[in-house]
Amino acid sequence: MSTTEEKKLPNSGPRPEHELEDLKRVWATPKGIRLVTAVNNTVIGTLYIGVAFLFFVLAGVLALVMRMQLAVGDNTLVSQDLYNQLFTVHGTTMMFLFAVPAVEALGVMLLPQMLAARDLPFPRLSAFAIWAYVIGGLVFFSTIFYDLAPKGGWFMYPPNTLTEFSPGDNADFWLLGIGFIEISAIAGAIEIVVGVLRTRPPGMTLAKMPIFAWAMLIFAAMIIFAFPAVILATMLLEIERAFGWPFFSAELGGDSLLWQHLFWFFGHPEVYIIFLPAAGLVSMIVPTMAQTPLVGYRLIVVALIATGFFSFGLWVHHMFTTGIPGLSLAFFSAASMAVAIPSGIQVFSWIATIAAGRKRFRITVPSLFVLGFLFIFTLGGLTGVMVAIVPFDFQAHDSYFIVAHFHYVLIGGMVFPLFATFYYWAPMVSKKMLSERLGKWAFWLMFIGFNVTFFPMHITGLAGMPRRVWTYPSNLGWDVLNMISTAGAFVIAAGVLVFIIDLIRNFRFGEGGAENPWGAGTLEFLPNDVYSTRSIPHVTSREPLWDNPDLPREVEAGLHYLPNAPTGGRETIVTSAVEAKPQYVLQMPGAGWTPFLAAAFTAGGFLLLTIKEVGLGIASGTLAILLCLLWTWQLDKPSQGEVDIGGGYKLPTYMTGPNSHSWWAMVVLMLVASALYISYFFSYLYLWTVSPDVWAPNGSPAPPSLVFPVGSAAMFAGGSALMAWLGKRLPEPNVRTPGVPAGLVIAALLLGGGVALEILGHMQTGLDPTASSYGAMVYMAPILTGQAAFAAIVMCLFAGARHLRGGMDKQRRVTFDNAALLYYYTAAQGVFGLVLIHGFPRLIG
Amino acid sequence: MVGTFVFILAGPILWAIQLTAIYGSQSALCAAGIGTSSGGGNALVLWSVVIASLIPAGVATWAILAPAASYRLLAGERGDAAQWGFLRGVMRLLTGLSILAMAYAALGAVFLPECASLR
Repeated sequence: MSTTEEKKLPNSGPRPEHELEDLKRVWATPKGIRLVTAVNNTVIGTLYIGVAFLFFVLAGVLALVMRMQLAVGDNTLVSQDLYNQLFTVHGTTMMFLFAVPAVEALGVMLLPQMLAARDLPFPRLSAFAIWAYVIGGLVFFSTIFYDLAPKGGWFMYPPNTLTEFSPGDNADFWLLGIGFIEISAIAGAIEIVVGVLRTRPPGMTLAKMPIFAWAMLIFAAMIIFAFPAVILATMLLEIERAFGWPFFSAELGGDSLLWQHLFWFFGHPEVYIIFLPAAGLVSMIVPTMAQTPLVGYRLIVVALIATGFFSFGLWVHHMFTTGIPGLSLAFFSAASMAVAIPSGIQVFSWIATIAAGRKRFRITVPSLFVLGFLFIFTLGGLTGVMVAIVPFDFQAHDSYFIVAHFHYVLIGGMVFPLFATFYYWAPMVSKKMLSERLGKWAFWLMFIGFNVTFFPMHITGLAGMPRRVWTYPSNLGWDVLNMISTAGAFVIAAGVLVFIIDLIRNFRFGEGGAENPWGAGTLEFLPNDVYSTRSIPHVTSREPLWDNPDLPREVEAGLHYLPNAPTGGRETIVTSAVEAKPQYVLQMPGAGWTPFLAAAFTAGGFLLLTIKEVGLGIASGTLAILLCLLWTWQLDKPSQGEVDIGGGYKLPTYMTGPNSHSWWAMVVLMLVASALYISYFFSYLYLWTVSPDVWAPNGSPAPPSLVFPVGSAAMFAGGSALMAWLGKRLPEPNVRTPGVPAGLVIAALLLGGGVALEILGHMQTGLDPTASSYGAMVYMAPILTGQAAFAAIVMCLFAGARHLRGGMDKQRRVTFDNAALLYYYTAAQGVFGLVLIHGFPRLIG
Repeated sequence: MVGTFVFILAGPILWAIQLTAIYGSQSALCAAGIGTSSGGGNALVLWSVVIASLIPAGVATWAILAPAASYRLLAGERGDAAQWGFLRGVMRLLTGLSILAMAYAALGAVFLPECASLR
């Protein structure tokens, strides 16, 4: 078949000349200083990954200083205090500022191209998340230069991090700075979930989705459920440090192990949050290098999902030595070993793919990094099974054996695939490819250096050297092993330096690079420009470029879907989540200052609060909210009627309800909020199980009269009913009525009133949140509901204002629907909290 | 659509329910000291682990054996044959792995004292 007629392509050619010009104009990247207003995924994705790599290098330099300190015993190169700051900032930067952002950056950069979408569905949200991360991350890292860096390790265990043992602002920089970066990660995750499920090209069913898209979907889902636990933990610790609410102080009914539960409920999935996207990248690179379809596609999907789930059942394996009953340890030991099975499935699948294509397998730089990954990660996985065995963990816990294990897993499992990615996908955003010669030097230096550095640490650990020690006596037999590790660290650094030289010599950002230089079968290697692909292909297989070698020409000629810009602005096709059937054309926002400025003021708000500049911090936060409202005001564009995208599809340009992408984003946001509240619920019950005798402590006031919770619940229910009533009675387009904003104001007042009444009830009993963990937990429930209520109230007022300005009515109602969704969720959470706080103490007598 | 994802994830969801139930009941019963003997044994915990494991494992086994019925229950009508084959295969494999993980976790209750600290 060589003609378009025979193939029945969605559109016929030749296309009108102005279509391509329109696309280029609409999607043009801003120039000069206005580059910071850009929202195109290739621009901000490249910035994102560039900054993540910068943090990798900076944290690596800190590691070199630590290795110099440890090269010989009794060394005094750096002080003990500085050493504590070094390993804290090294770990925190690698985990929070490099690893998670790097893989999220790859999602932002690669997913639209892999899915042949013009962009992810919320480009301004991506831009906001990235700028927030860049500004907040740089400020956090800089604390190491003026003795303000935290010193409590990347896990910041209390009681060591309570004010008594960690005075000053150092720990606050971690708590507020990292809490803020986590919010940025969640914003990115919402974007990725909705992007993968709703902006796939027509025909790309779940069974045909690229493995990297599967991996990113699971990665984002894991962020949504894991990060709220650590956000709650950082909130509780900061509140204890700032206001003395004793969540972690044992003498007042708190428990420092609560922090460990919350932190590791995030911290262990975090390892897989980093690994799964890297595994997804490997699953994309291996078939290309072997010129063979991935062996066991279905098994790999199973392995990704199973790993994602099981990783949430492993958190206690970081706490084997804390005195937890033996049977509890067995539950988590079992889960820790069970997770090895899906990881093993992936390794065998990659090996089988290489074996199936062994006659065609090419040893390129990406292949070398993938093979290095397989070797290193497998060794790290094996030592992981060792430390999942409780008696062995008792011996190896907090020794250098663990340092060796997690570096094998994290560097093997994430850094090597990332370097493979740099070389493999560079042609997508660079006019020149990176050098194979320099790349091979970089690989061998890094591979040899890595094993020289970290393999001896297994022995150092088994010889008894504990983690996080500033120095050690020279007569313990650890000197030679440490010196070898230090030498290896500098060899790794040399490898990274060669890579940087390669970047400087060859990386040139822009379009026009080699097209499909590796002979890949997936859509990101279609001809690309600022608008992504000229037309959006109809997908019929997992390797469309292999199965239809003519596809690049067809797509470039505009013969597939949406070869133009029919609404005159940025747009992409939204498809159904399972079958990928076209549903509507999404009108997307373009470049703008608001995401950048909102991110800057959000970062400013958090950082000013950290240094106790409360007034300025609140002012900065208020400005951030105003800028977000300004940005949101420009969204929700009116319908442009139906547009023809080809293939017989005439799609609407406006969508409400469960088919709308914004409805999906709100649902994902509510999942985040509910995960946060479930973490609180767990914390409440956990502190009760730890100290049932002080729940409530002797001398505590009796719970408030039931009039207060019943009144609160009535306000929540009444407000929800009012929102539902308003939703059914929104006026027709171009009809403005004061009843709508008035109703929204009343609903907002009811929601705020419900929260205030609950707090007032406890205050009038004289319950003191600083007197016991019980009191602190009681006040936390309405505070958490108050947070959600604040957002819902702002959204209600925003929807009312839009109606008054003619931007919200019966048809154009997304802003109202979003406000209503969050309102219902907040009311439900509020009622749940009332039942817990007022029912549980009465239940247990 | 949500039903389709619940169908795919049925096994891991059941595994999560089992782990929450066995860890939650063991922690609560041991912390409250209900039914704990002097040696750290606790028959209540043992039976709660057995019951909290058998029920989800039974449901998971049913899902593997009757995928069409479980899909109909959760998501309604099936899509095209290729998509159905993928969804069914992924669900079965995931559920099989989950049953293995459930059995592995529950096994500890047979060998270990339910509430004793091992050191």
